[in-house]
Formats: sequence, structure tokens, C-alpha cells
Amino acid sequence: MSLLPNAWHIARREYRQRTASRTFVIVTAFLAVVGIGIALLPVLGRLITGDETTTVAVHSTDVQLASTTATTMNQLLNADGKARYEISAADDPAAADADVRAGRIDGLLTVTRAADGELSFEALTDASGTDQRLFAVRQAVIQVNIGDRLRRAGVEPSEAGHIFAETPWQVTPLDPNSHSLEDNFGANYILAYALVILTFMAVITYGQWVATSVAEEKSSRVMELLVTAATPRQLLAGKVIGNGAAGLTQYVVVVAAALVGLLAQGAVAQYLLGDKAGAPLEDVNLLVLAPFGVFFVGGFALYSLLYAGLGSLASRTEDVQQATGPMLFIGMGGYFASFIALSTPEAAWVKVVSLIPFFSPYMLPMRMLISSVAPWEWAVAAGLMVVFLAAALWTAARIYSAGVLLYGQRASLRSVWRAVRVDR
Amino acid sequence: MQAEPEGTSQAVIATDGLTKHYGNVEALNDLTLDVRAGEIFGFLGPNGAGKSTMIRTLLGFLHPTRGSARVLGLDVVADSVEIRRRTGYLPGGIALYDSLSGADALEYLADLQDRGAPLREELCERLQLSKAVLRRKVRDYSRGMRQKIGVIQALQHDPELAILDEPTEGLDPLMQHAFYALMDDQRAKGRTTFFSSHVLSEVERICDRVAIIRSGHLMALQNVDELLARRKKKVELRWRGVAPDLAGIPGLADIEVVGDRMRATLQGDVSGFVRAIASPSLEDLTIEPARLEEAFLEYYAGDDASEEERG
Repeated sequence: MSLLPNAWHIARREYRQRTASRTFVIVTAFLAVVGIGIALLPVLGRLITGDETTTVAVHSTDVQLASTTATTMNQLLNADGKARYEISAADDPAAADADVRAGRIDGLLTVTRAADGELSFEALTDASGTDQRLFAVRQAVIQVNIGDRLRRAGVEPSEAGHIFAETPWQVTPLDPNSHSLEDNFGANYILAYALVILTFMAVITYGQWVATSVAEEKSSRVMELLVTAATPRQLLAGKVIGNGAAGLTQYVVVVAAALVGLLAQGAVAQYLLGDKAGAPLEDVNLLVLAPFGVFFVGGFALYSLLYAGLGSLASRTEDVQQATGPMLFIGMGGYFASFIALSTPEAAWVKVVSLIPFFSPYMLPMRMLISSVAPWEWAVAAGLMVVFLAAALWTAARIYSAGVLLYGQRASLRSVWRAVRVDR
Repeated sequence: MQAEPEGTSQAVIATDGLTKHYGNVEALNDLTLDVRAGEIFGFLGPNGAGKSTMIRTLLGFLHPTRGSARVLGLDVVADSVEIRRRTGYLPGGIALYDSLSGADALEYLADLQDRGAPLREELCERLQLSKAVLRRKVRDYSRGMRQKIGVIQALQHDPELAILDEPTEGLDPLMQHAFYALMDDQRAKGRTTFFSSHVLSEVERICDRVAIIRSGHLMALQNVDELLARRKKKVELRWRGVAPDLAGIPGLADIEVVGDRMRATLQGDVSGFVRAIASPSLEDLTIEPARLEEAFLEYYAGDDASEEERG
């Protein structure tokens, strides 16, 4: 019998029941707010801490040395014109020390010239080792030191400017389509990272929904009635489409809220802080998300089908976790593989694994963003996805039609195998 | 086994040596029976006798360990989808979606069956499910109301065969009689009904033929009239004064006198017995329908003892 129109009737009922529940509405609204919150976190962070200026006092027994060091560092650190750093010479080291300890200034830099003329620097601060500002100060100090060595070696200050000038450097990528060397690589990398996490969460969370919904029907024995009126294949397809659509509804609402948050970051920053910060997605072409959408839906359906099949082996909703364990395992596998692959997107194993339907929803969009995917690879991955979906529907329908009536039995490998072998 | 003469009408359900084992549990053992077109067939047995297993096998939910069965001429293993499509089914202990109203549940199942629901209104009326009740959510329904919805969904699309698992469970006596009347109509329309029960009296009331099953074994396959004739009822009498000698009454056996009470079993026609005991000194009379379990024992008292060892 054909899937329609019964699969449609079932999907519609599932979707309505799911989306009409109060839990769904509340959780969706809550997650949307959280999504916006996370998207605006950098702005909110700046709002709370304020647009801080980093103040550093420079002290040296050689007053002249202290003042030239402070002047040079001011120039280097504020080269972007934003005046985020205020470096000044301090005459009284004890007072400056007290200021740092009291938190009035961010750091005290003590410069000492040794007998052989070499400079040494000592910073007093409570900044952590990963603090960007400490890193910037250290870079500036290195330049100050090199400038000092050049001067002592007799290089004219006019020549020093030339020495510090930028070095021409260019990389020709083997693969001309690769995004790995483009200017917006950073933004793409973050987007790839986010897509992997979001895909993993969607596949596991909404797959679990489908499995739980199947197990509920089975434990309440509504199933017996349904399976008389509709075929297992229709029921399965309807459940996956209905619950999947409800899941996608929630997902799209939350992601859209987060996207709006990201896009509005600049405007919000301007409104709240009075300056314009660049929106983080400005550099990313959102059109690249189209193939991601296709593979996301495909992978979503693949996982949901198998979740439904395995969910039907659980007699009680409490057993769903155990019965669907293998899917979590596969999902986690794709998740971790993607994180390893983020640093080596050109590796041969990454290329092979990214074509496998269980992993392609994670890995293909990621490769597309930070490396490149050849047209034939898209075609092979899409073909494999179609084949796997058909196989999953067939397998899941068999497990399901057997599983829905296996009351009170533990889901064991043997029972799954028997269920798949038997034709119903 | 009782050899049934082949009827002229075609068998709607025919099983041949049907056997179903769950591991070591023998739920059905070598069951051979047939249900003829247009009859109401009772499938009688105590709880756990294998009634639901039989029904699930007929609908293709379970596969026979051995033997075969055909429903509407279709094989239960190969063509179960088509069998279910053409059959109305009431599962035992029916469950419905709590969040749907009764009307929505019926509409939903009718949509899935894709056959329309020409009989729904009439059925709702006869089982006294008002529009107001139908609008309420199933979660607020009593056991009996759910059962009514179950009966209606099994019959609303006017299927040629209805398979009903304990259909009168949870119905009050008035509704049980409304259901019996529905069954009479089904027979009049030439529809076939296969229904399981553990209540002997209702099987007597509505069935043409009955199969009695116990521990997965077919104990009897009988016309109801024949079964009725052979059934023993328990009678208890109380007298003022001395009990008269009733030994000569046909069908009365196992007489036991304790003081002014007399207990006995009565088989067959009651009219002779009632005439014989008619006396001003009779103070009380109880005729108790034989319990199902005893009906089996009676029926097979003279049969192969090995059958009886299975408890």
C-alpha cells in the first residue's frame, strides 16, 4: 500500500499533538531567548564590564628610558586608533605597585638595563596567561627591545622603520576552491564549529522524541489499533515526518532567533554602547547554508527513522534510552570525528568519512566552510544518503512492525535480528 | 476433536494445525478450526488460554510457530496487511490517544482505514454515546465509554469481518444487551464476527458456534445449541420439612442432601425438573449457571485424560 495519504494523517496528528503541548511552547520560547542571549553575549559582556582602557605604568631607574618605552608602546598598542591602552611612565615604583594591587591600574612594567646594555622587563599584574591584553603588551615589549638593540648596534632610527615594515607573504593553495586561506576563515571556522554542535544536538534530541513517542504508543497499547488501520511503514513515516517537523519547527525558531541576535549585534552595540562593532556574520555568505539544509534534513530523517525502529523495541518509556543507545553512539562518533577533522579538513580519512550518510550532515558543511567539497563528492554523498534512507525505512519498518508487539521483552541484539529477518 | 461437517458457505477464517510457542510457553497448540461466512463465532476460554494470541496471529501481528491460517482467503503471514485492511478489530483492553476527543479518535481511525464511516452515527446512537460525550477528551472517559469507542471504531466502516477481543468487557448490562442486538444485526446483514469471551452466557446468547480453548488447546468446536444441551447447571433447593426423593428426575445427578438443603447438578431441559419440584414446601431455589472452567471439565470428563493434565 502506498505511504500516502495515511502517513500524512499520522504526521498531522503527531505534529499537532507535539506542538500544541504546553511543554513544547514553553521550551521553544525559553530556548529562543537563550539563543538570542548567547548571540548577544559579547555585547552584553562589554555592557557589564564597560569599554575598558588598559592602563599600564612603566617604571625605570632611568627616567628617560621609562618615558621613551611608554611613548613607543602607546604608539604600537593604539595603532588601530581605538585608544584602548594607556601607557605612562611612573616615577614612584612603590605607589605604582600599590595602584596595581589596589586594582586602580592594570599593570606595572619595570624596565632594567643591565651592565652589558641589554634590557629586561618585569610585569606585575593579575592578568591570566591567556589574557589577550597581556599578549599584546608582550608583543609591544619585544618590539621595544629589538628597537633598542638596533639603536645600540648603530642602526639609524630612520632605517629602523624599514626593518619593522611588513614582510610580503603569499600562499598559493593547491586547491583553488578551498576556503582555508581566505580572509573570512575565522568566521567560517566558528560557523562550522556551530553547525557541528547544532546538528548533533538536533539529531540526538529530536531522534529521542520520535523514539519516546513510539514507545509511549506501544506501552499504552494504542499501537495495536493503529497497526490494524495503517501499515507499519505508513505509521513509521508519519511518526518521523510529524515529530521531525515539530522538532524542525522548534529548531528553526531557536536558530532564527540566534541569527537575528547575531545580525543585530552591531545595532544593539551601537544602541547600548554607542559604538559600532562588526556583526560576526558579515563576512559569511549565508547561501552556503543551503546544501547544509539539504543534508541536515536527510541526516535528520535517517537518524529519526532508526530511532523510531529502535524505540519500538522498548516496552516502557524508561527503556528507550537503552534501546536507542546505538544511535547515540553513532551520533557521538560523528560529533567527535568532526572536531578532529576541524583541524585536518584535507586528510584522506576525513574526505572518505564525510561521504557516509551518518556523518555527512556534520562533516560536509564543515568541509565546505573551511576547505572545499568537489561537485562529485556532493553527488556521491547525496546518492549514498538516498540509498541509506531507503534502507533505513525498510529496516526500521521491519524492526518497528515486529517491535510494536513484543510486549515485555528486553531489547536484545537477538530480538532485533529476528525482527529484521521476519517479514511482516 | 469434533469433526465438523464442511458447510456449504466458504470459510472466512480457516486454521490448520496452528501452533504458537513463546520460547518454552506453548500459547497455541495445533489449533484447527474454521469460521463460516455470515456466522457469529465465539472463542471461549479462561484468561491466559491463548485467546489474544490466536487473534493476534489471525491479524498477522504474530507469526505461527507451525501450521497455517487463512483469513478472508488470505495467508496470515504473507498477506497480513490486506487482512487488516479488510477487518474491523477491537483489541483487548483498548487504549486510545488521551489527548483526542472521542469523535476525533473515531474520525482519525476512519481516515486511516480510508473506508468512510457509514455506520458511525447509528452505532453511537445505539451504544448511547451522545455528541456531548464524543466531544470530551478520551482521558476523561470511563472504562465503558472507551470500550464503546472501541466497538464503534471496529464496526463503523462496515467491514466484512470483525474480530473482537472480549467486546463486552467494561460495558454495563444494558449496553451489553445493546451490543448483543448489534451482533444480531451483523448476522442479519451477512457479516462475519469472530469474538472472544470468557463469559459463557453471552456466547450462548449470541453465537452460532463456539470454540472452547484451554491452555492453547482446542477443547471443543460446537454448535451452541448442542453445547447448551450438554451443559450442567448447579441447582440448590431448600425445603420446609423433609426433602422429597428427586432421584428419578431426568438430568438430575450428583444429589447431595445436607439438612433441609439439597444440592445437585442438572443437565438438559429444566422444565421436567421444575414440574417435579413444584410443591408448597419448596422454600428457595437457585439455579446457578455452570462456570466456564467446569463446563470444560464436564465436556471432557470422558475424553482422553492427557488433555486434562494440562492445567
